[in-house]
Amino acid sequence: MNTEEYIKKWLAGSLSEAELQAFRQTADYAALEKLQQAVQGFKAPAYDVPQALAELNKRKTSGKKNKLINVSWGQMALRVAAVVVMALLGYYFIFSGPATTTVTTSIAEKTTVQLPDNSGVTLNALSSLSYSENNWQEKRLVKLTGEAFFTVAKGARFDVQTAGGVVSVLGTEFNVNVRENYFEVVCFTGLVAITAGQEKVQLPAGHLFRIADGVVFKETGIKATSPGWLANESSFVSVPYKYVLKELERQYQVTVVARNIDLDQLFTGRFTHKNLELALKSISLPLNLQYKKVGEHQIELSGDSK
Amino acid sequence: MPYFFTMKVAEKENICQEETFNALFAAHAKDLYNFLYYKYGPGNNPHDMVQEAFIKLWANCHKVIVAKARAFLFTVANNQTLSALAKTKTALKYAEDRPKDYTAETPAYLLEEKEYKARLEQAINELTPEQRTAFLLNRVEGKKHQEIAEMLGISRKAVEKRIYTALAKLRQKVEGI
Repeated sequence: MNTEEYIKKWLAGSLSEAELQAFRQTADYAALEKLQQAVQGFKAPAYDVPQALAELNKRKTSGKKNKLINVSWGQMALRVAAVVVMALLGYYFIFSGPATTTVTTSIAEKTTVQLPDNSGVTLNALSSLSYSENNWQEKRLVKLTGEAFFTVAKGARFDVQTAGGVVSVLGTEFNVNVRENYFEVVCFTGLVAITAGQEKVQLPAGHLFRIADGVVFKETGIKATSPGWLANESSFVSVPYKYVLKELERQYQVTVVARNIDLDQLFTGRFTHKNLELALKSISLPLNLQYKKVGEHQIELSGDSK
Repeated sequence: MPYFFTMKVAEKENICQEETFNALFAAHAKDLYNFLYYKYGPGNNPHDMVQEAFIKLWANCHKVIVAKARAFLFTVANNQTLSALAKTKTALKYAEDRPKDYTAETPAYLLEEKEYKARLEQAINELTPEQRTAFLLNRVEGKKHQEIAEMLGISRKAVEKRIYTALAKLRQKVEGI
């Protein structure tokens, strides 16, 4: 081993005992040791972590106070404008009609809403429901984006308005799922009437109706009495795979990148909301796909089917 | 077949919580200070730059995840110092108050030592900031090549090259080889 190699190993601290002994005999070693000692004199001053942290915390809070005092002219004008707008809105709401209630869920969130007549609606992740409390007994109308399970009390007609169509019911339990290019209704008990584009359908219990990417799909013989996602498990019957991936992204904080996969192939199966690894296995193994975690919140799915 | 998974799903630990933030300070502030000191010298307010970087982290606590905090802090602090770079930066100085553990000191020896240190000081300040930082973090702070690579955002091989080149330059200046 020549001098250069010795030096490199010395720098990396990877000399063996024997090599170190040999190296110690050389003049180079003496020079390096002298340099090593001398260089210690350039050590940075000691850094007092607790003191610096205390100082930082003071600056953090005083920074906030400063912002309050130094309010610029522009900001004042903005605040006055905001107050005026609030006043106008206030008048509008007092003197005009309906008080709309809106409930929204975010990623991996589910929530249940009680409507004025004790009808119940449970929202799946990334969904939104709005309705007006006024006149509820005469006209029951809700607007839905996303997915929700409805338990409707008997009474006047109950309408669910979505971007994909309108679902009207009389005392029943059903699931509506509306996402981009995707409209699906499953009726569990009772009877549901659907108007979606040109289609007018009467959906009895145990039936599923779907329009995905413009393709109509119907399924009968559904034995469940409520949708899987209420029990923290998303289930799919012949659903184009890309929608399965989108639901996975809604239930976990991840983005899925698909390589070499036919995203239109139909998938029947389910995945849990409580364990990402298990969920990934459930949706990849049946289709012979591999998955890989790339970074904290990204999954790469790849296959050799096309 | 049962699956055994130890992965935590959707961890909710976030930097906006005081406890997490303070822990990050304890973990990274000193290394960040040393990095700035070695790279830019004492004349560029390394202490203030560390504070400013953490204040920025606090302001962006919703956007940065814990695993990326170190990289965020180093990048922000480096950029801040570059923008504020003083035209005449104070050079690193040899600290004279190091304990002397040898007692026999002839005048000739002392003179030679003094000259050696002077040459070394000049040589250290003539290194490129990149070489100086890598070299001092390794030889003085004892950071491993891989650790330095992560701090500077470069490969381990690049770190080794910088250190080796720095060493060669220093030896040339102090030993005359």
